[in-house]
Amino acid sequence: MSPNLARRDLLKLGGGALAASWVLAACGSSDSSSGSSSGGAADPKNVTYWAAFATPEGQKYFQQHFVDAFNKSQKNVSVKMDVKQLMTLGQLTNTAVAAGKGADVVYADGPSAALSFAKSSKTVALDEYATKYKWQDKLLPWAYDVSKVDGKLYSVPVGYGSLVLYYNPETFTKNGWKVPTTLAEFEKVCAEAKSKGMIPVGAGNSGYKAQTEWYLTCVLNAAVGPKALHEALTGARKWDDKVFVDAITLVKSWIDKGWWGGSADRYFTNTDTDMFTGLANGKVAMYMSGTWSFDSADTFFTDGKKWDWAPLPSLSDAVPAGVYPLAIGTTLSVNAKSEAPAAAAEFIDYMIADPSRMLGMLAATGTNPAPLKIDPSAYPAEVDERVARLYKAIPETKNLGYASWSFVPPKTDTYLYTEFDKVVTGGMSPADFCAGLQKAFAEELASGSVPKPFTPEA
Amino acid sequence: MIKTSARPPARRRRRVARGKLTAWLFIAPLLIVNVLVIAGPGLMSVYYSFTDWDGLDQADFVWFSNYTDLIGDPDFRRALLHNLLWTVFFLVVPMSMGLLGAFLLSRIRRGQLLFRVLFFIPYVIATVVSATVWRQILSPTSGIGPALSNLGIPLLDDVNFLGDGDIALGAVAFINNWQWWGFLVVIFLAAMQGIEPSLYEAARMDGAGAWREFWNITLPSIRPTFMFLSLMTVIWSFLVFDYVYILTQGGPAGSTDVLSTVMYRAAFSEQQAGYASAIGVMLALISAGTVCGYLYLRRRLRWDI
Amino acid sequence: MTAVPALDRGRPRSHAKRRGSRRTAKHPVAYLILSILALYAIGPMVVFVLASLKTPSEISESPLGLPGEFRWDNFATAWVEANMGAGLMNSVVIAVSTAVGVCVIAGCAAYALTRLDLPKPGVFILYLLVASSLPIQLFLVPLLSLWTKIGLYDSRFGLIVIYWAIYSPFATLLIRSFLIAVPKEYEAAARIDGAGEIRVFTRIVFPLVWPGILTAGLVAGLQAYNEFLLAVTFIQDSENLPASISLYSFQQGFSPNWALVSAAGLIMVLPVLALFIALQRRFVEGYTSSGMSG
Repeated sequence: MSPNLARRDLLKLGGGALAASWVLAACGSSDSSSGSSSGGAADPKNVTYWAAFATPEGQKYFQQHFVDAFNKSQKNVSVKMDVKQLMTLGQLTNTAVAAGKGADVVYADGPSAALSFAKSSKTVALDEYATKYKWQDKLLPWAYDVSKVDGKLYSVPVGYGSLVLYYNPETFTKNGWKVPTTLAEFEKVCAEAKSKGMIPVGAGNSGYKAQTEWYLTCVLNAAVGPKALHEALTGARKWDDKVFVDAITLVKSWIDKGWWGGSADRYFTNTDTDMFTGLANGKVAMYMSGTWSFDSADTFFTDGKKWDWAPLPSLSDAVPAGVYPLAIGTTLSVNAKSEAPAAAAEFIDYMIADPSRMLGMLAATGTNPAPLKIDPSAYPAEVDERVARLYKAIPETKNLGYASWSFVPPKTDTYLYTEFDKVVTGGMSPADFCAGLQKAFAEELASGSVPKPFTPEA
Repeated sequence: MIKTSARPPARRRRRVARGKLTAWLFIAPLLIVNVLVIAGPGLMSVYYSFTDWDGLDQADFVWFSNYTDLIGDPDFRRALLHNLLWTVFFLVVPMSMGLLGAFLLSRIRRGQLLFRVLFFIPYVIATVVSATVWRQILSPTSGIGPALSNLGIPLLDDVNFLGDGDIALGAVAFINNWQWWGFLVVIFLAAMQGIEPSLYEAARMDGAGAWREFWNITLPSIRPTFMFLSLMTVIWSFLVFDYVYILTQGGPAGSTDVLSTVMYRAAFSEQQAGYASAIGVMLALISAGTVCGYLYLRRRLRWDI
Repeated sequence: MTAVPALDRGRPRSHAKRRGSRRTAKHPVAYLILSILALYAIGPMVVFVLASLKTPSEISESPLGLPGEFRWDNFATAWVEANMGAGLMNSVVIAVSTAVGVCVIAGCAAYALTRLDLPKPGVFILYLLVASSLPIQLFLVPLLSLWTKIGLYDSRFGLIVIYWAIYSPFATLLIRSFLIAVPKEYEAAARIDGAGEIRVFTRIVFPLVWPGILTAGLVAGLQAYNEFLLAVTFIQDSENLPASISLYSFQQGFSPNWALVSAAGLIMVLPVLALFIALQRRFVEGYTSSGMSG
């Protein structure tokens, strides 16, 4: 075997041989109908798109206002959307794309996953379309930059959000607390909540292990700060630097005090649902989580109860309060196997072309919008005040940070949320954790798997 | 087709040849689908296990480095140990419960149907549902522990079955057993239907009790099924994935990691599909070893299965 | 069957069934143990049924308690949102085809392994066992590209073929273990009478191991019915997806809505349970119905 056999060729080789030797046996009738998902050359061009939604309302709205509306708006392209499950879409797309299949419009759950597809030539460069549709003028600069690989655009971000501090105003009023903005205030609320038998900070990774990276993203941005993170992401600072070890040590001390999730062992049995339910009934004081829960949080707060959010507090003197870690949760690319790449790009453009369409969905369903340049006055009045507040705040602030799954490469990201378990149980010291992090990151930095982070302004 | 030194009469030879052909025809459908779906792609996995394939594109040949990495990987060794513990648990607990249930069922008539349905119900439920139900029952905040505590029985206070690394593996095995043993009852019972009633009649005339009937008649009569299920238990114990993945995903801190969860993480989260393939090949080798050991024993002990 | 006295084998016996029924009343201990086992099996089912009538918050707060209000509309919501009607139809087609196919494939193979002149059956058994020890997650990608090449991707038939392949080894070995337990004298007699192999198989052997074949088919059908990973990977068209998908369809942000998942799970269980109960009597047949006994 040639030692540098590309996988594509290998599949051709292996698959071809398999097919040749077994196709006869396999119930002869199965005529190889090359069955590409992207349809034939006939007009209109068929484009497939796999999507997943956090709520059924979101799905219905998208089908109606994006897919159906697009199909009606022109005669050249017909989009067919297949709805998958939120928890499986990423892996499903990976498997299909690796096997040379998958939809024409390829979903990825963030720039770093999109980068993997681009690096292995599973998706195509979109610069031609970016120029044609003027995407650089439409997208926020940081989002456009992080979608580029070796100077070429390979994906388009269509959903972004941040991480914030969720709380129940009723609980805070009842206990006479004020929403914390500094480390001292934060620890004071934690201590009082703990003494009242509450869970001070909601945390847990039962059901979805990667939840850990939500919490770590919050802590790293709020305690270490975007500037140091940017240095680490570009290789200028090591991940086993003292600032990172201190941040992890801080979290560990909170876990040991029972502030995080209640206790170390509870961390492994708490679910996201438990934490929101706890917020609603006053058993959880605060919860640092993502804004993707904006559209589902209401379902936990019934009988007139309300949730609200505040920017993350500062968790060290070096970082100003109110950092917004930026997270791109959905990116779209064009499959290298697509027979109608131009048509696929046209559909991607339709999603982001008109900000009012995206804002309409935000108003109706709370779904995280694409990172578009939008004038604050453009937000329709129907958008929930809490949601609008976030998306108006982000373009105004200079204190923007990095969500791990958007800016950290895959192996390092997996390390973050699998190995942190050991810090929780006490089986690994914060220093060792950070040393391992540095080791994983250095390898991926060398192999070019790290997306390009924006430069912090603050 | 057949070579024998003494040339058999033409007619017999033809019949033997036809017999062989019939045998091949009977087994052909199985071999065709199996080779198509499992052996072919399985061989691809063997190839990948010698590469550094990331799951998408690059596959450079790296010879045995995945295997040497495996041996030095503490996660792999711990997972292997967990699989062994799992095997022991499943060879003992569900097998005993299955045999007990089936034997008792085979001795009663009234209510047999009802019991059989009740025992089998857990097996019918999709894994994701039953795992979640059990997660709720074992919840340290709202599950069985606090419920007992409210009743004045502080027996399970602060026991976090799935969150405490020392007991989590046992808890997952217990939950999996809940679904599994009823399945064994059904299969053992089906096997016991094949026992000729006269054997029991004879034993009873000799004044044998239930225990002796079980040892002397039931167990020997269903031995092929029993041995086969034991063998499958070993194989399946090395493949166990669903319950671990849904309940703990290998946590807390790897205390419930088994080979398949390590493999899954390598393949789909860490983009080390080559390494994951090596784990898969190791799984198959372990099974092959077990089966060969069994076949050897069978020949030595002249068992008839 | 060396452990069983050979002289007892193959002799027709009488009245076994009637005598058996006399055993009924005198087993209080047996009934006690069986009842305990039944409680163990059924207890969590109560939690399951209650969960399907709650809200997700109620499940999180008190999974063991009664719901504040019985939310029967969970079933309607689950049914409509996950399009379960169509899903169940697909599931039935897939599960029944899998079960029937596996029965035929495995029945024939087991017969060949035990009764026909197959060279080195031990090698086949080894192969089957090793084949069933490969984790299927591992070769999704090669299998997917092969399926694409031979045109089986995105069709229910393609999925069914995969199920046949992965569920047949167990079924074959299971049926084989039943066949070994059946004495060969019956068939020998039939063969001497000049019956062909097919006839011996269908008329003599098949009725004797019917509970085994039925069990193997039931197990394969059930596994196919609840299977998720392969279904979602090999079927792209939502129209053809089975009902097991619905258990993963109810999102509430990043966590599943367990109330709706439980409701959908219960909807999925009911038809299987009905079928199992309907088939019950078939399982207890064996010697008693094969015409070979008394």
